[in-house]
Amino acid sequence: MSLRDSGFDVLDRVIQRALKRPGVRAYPRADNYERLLRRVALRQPKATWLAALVSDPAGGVYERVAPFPALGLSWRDLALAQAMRPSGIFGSLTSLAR
Amino acid sequence: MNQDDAPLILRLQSGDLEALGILYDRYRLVVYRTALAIIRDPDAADDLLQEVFLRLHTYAASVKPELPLAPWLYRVTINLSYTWFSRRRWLAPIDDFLEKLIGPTRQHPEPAAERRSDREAMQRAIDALPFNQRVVVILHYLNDLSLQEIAEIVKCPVGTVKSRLYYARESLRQQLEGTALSPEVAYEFTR
Repeated sequence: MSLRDSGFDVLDRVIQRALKRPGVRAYPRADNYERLLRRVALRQPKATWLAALVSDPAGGVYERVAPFPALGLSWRDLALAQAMRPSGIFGSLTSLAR
Repeated sequence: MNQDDAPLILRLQSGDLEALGILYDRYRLVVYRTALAIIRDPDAADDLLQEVFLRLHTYAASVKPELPLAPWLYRVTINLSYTWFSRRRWLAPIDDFLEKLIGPTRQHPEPAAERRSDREAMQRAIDALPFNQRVVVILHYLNDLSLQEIAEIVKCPVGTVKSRLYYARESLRQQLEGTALSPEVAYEFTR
């Protein structure tokens, strides 16, 4: 019985062979899933700085958001620097005491 | 079609990334090889594989757990491949120009003898098919899907799928006539 008689044409066989042996890399890269996870993480909704302040899992009301990462300053440092200015709360109290 | 997908889809819908990993392991080869067969570029197929699962994660809420996941993945793969081709059409002239510039120093990854094989001739003929016909041929011959299953994936009547497959086969038969095919295949084509 020929291949054509058996209902499976030689053409079908050649098409199938060409597609099932692509001749190029037949497997995705091993690090593909890690790259996918990185992309998933980038798409996660980002918390706003206010949400980060009020929902700090450590229980505090500070940080998690670093407004000046290059200087290593947090919101707490910023608030302290603001208070220490001559016109800030500490500066005002000092002038009053004087 | 895997019936175990339903609990994983439900877990994914609740934000469980481990479920995404299990589904990725289960379907990565199917998605990658389908994409590779359509677009013929391993790096682009890698990107497309990521994009398919990124969409699965993003649109998990709209995936129905009671339905098999494979047709959904096939459909997204085909749609993204089509988008890739549409973008490439604009970039093709630039690619051709760059190819001409660096062409002489670039080595083809496959040896010349293999390029002349039946498989290569057939692959080139499949690449030359219109997109709709190529998709049907790939789903039928690579993924062993029935005409009914293909019709559900590409969302058209079974008759249309049958017709696309018929014209694709005829086109392949005509394109391969006169090429250096093995005697057995050449004999079949000339009958």
